[in-house]
Amino acid sequence: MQNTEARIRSSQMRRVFDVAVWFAALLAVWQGFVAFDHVSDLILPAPSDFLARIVTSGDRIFPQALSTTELVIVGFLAGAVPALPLGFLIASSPLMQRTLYPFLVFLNVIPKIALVPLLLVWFGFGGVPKVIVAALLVFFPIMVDTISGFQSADPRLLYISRSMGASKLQTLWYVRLPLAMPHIFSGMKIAMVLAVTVVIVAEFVGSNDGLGYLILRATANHDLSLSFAALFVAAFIGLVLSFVVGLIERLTLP
Amino acid sequence: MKPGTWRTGVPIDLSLDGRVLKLVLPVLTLLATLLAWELAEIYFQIPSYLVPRPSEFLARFYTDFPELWHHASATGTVIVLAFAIGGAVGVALAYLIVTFRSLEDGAYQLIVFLQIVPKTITAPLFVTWFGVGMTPKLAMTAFITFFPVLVDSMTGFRSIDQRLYYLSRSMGASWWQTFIHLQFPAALPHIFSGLKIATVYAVTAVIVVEFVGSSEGLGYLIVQAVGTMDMSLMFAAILTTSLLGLFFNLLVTSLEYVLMPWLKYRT
Amino acid sequence: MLKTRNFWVTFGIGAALIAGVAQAHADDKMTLTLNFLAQPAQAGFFLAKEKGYYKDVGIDLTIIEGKGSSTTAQITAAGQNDVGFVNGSIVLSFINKGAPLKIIAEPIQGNFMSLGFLTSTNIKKPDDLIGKTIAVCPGCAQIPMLKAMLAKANIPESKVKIINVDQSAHVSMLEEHKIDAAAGDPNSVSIEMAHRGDKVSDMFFQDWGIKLVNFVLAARDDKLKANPDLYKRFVAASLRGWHDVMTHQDEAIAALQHQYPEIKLDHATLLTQLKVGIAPFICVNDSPGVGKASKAMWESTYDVMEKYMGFKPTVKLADTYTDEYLPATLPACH
Repeated sequence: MQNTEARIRSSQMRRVFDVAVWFAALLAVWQGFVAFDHVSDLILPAPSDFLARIVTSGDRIFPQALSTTELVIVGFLAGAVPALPLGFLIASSPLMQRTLYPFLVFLNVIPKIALVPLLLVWFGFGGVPKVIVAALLVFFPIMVDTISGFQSADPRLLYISRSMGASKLQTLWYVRLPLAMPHIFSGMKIAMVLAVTVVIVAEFVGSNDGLGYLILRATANHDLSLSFAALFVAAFIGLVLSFVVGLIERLTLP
Repeated sequence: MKPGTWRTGVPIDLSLDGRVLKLVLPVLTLLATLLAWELAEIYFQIPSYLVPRPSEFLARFYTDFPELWHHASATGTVIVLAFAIGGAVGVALAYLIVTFRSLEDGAYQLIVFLQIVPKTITAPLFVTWFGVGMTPKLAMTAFITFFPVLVDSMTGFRSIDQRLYYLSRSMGASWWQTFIHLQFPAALPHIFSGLKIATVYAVTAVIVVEFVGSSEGLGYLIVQAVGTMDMSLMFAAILTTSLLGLFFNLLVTSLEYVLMPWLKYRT
Repeated sequence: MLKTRNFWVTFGIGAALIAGVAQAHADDKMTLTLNFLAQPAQAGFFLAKEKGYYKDVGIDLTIIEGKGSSTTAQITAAGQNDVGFVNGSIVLSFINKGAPLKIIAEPIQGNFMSLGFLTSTNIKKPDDLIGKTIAVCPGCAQIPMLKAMLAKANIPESKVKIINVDQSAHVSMLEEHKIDAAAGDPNSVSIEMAHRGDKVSDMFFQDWGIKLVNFVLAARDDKLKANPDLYKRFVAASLRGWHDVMTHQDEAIAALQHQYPEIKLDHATLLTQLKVGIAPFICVNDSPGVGKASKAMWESTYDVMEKYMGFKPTVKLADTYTDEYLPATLPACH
């Protein structure tokens, strides 16, 4: 058992290493291209440029990054928490599948980002519109994965647990939930990155702070190296948060 | 339309009752919600300059149809072109990567990684680089479409049973023949699954660019409407955006049916 | 036992009294949303805050930057703040759509908004705009003004290309010739560009007939009625600040820079913006004093809006604004 675990972990590390190497190679090519072709830094800054900027302009970047991250996390939770019980409800009730589910599918067709100007008017420039939009965006994929998670339970396991005299609640907690978890978590990982994207985009439209605002302003002022620095930080935050979800998964599902 | 001949990827209840019910129930729920909304606004005296009534914004489809159509086609045109470009480049690149095996493994990981990285947040860059007009929208949306198509096409090309290659080679097929008659059709289901994922993101991508800088399109219309406090037009525009998304989904699904007629015979 | 109880009762009453008194003396909290990002155009508020005028009347003021008069007006109507600093014509059209807002003061009466462009583009009159590309910022007051100016000159909107871009991009787009003109005002466009060494010119909307009350303070009816005294104090303190802007421009800019250190422009440029672009417009046209527009100005505003902005006044002009929150003695115009 330990050997398999070790092998799995080492193959995962190998994958991360591979990506890191290729990514570094990509940056190196980029750097070379900018240097050799004398590309103006009003068009494309060199990686050395914008990576350094993360440090030098850190005092501008980090407060915005923090504010954006807070909104992402709150929005994610606001969307994920209702998605789980609703997903379970729909997975368990055919009536809900016929009425509620198609209705939610239809609502989901609305591009959430299109709602941002509206939410701005209703709720002002603070974090509320972004949290709402992130929650809406995150809700559906997590719910869908919850449903598929609950529906994927092998019926034989349910027979076994019933034959052992497990109550409905026990079945839920000890059998169905753990079986659904991998699906739910995979949905959450993707949803987390989506949440980062949508909060930042919302900040383009209606915000006077946050990473999105910084990106917009920097780009408009042709300070592309700051813009790329902020973009890089944003992407990094998305990946880190997603990784955190993965970590939680690993901890709760040994 | 005979029951059973239309393969849309979703199991369809072949009995007439089942089909009718499946369509009717959600539509009824929707209508009920709209009615409840309208009544709630009247009863609670919610100001319609803040929350437009369904009767108001639905009416705008009639009164402002030309404008809505103009902006919807502007946005829609961008999506069609972006699909064509992003899709073609995605498939081509996937083919190259899979054919030249040395690139494959590391590149694949990198590409999957890049697919997850948020891309819509680069919208201001596209506007700065390409100005305001169709170009930044096209570039951004093609960029967004490219990734899922690339990843899924690679999966598709890789999924082909090796023995089929022996067969085609032993029959003397050239690489073009192999591509057109073996590789492409085999990868097609995967390519389409990539395209379907892309439809979800494409509409959003165009709207985002339009928010940042544009002179036409649904995103432009939404912002304009808010700017003139025309809430019912704004709701109508948002609804149009959803309809556009649905339309493209339907389009891709129909295309799937046309290009892969063998699917309807699958059990 | 009784003694202990007596002690606690007395303590309790005493504490409650002290808390009550402290509460009564605590400053009233108020939120003001500006029309846009912090800039010299709102200097009156920053100066008033810096000099403690709000504290003097017991107000703890939070100033929030905005993103276009239209959005600020809507946010105010939605009750998300206590008072908004917004463009007059935008508020008026909103009131006519049913928004329960009232204009309570008019700190900047004159219309300082303009189209900024490189002098080489050679725009001398509205007709020269035909076929040109003009950038506007979404939700900004300049949009209806531009359209009104075109309407007055009988130019169909379709002949001009209007682009929606965030304000921050206007200057660079002008410099790169991606647009021919930017609808803004000297503060956001031409003065900054002159500072960067460009040769720029302005076409002022008011020179082409668009004379209207520019910037006003607006608040929701119900909030006004709930606490009229608070608003009176607020207006009085604000107008003191606006008056001082005319006489102490240096201090005003220092206040702006102090409260918003992230503003990149230097003191001298900001001062020019204030001196040239804002101060002359605070009082115009026989204004009775700072913060109160003359009747003539109001009538001109409604006139322009009706004739060229497609405005159907369903609310009488007299009902859209009120003088009751203005101080008894208005600060003098300079």
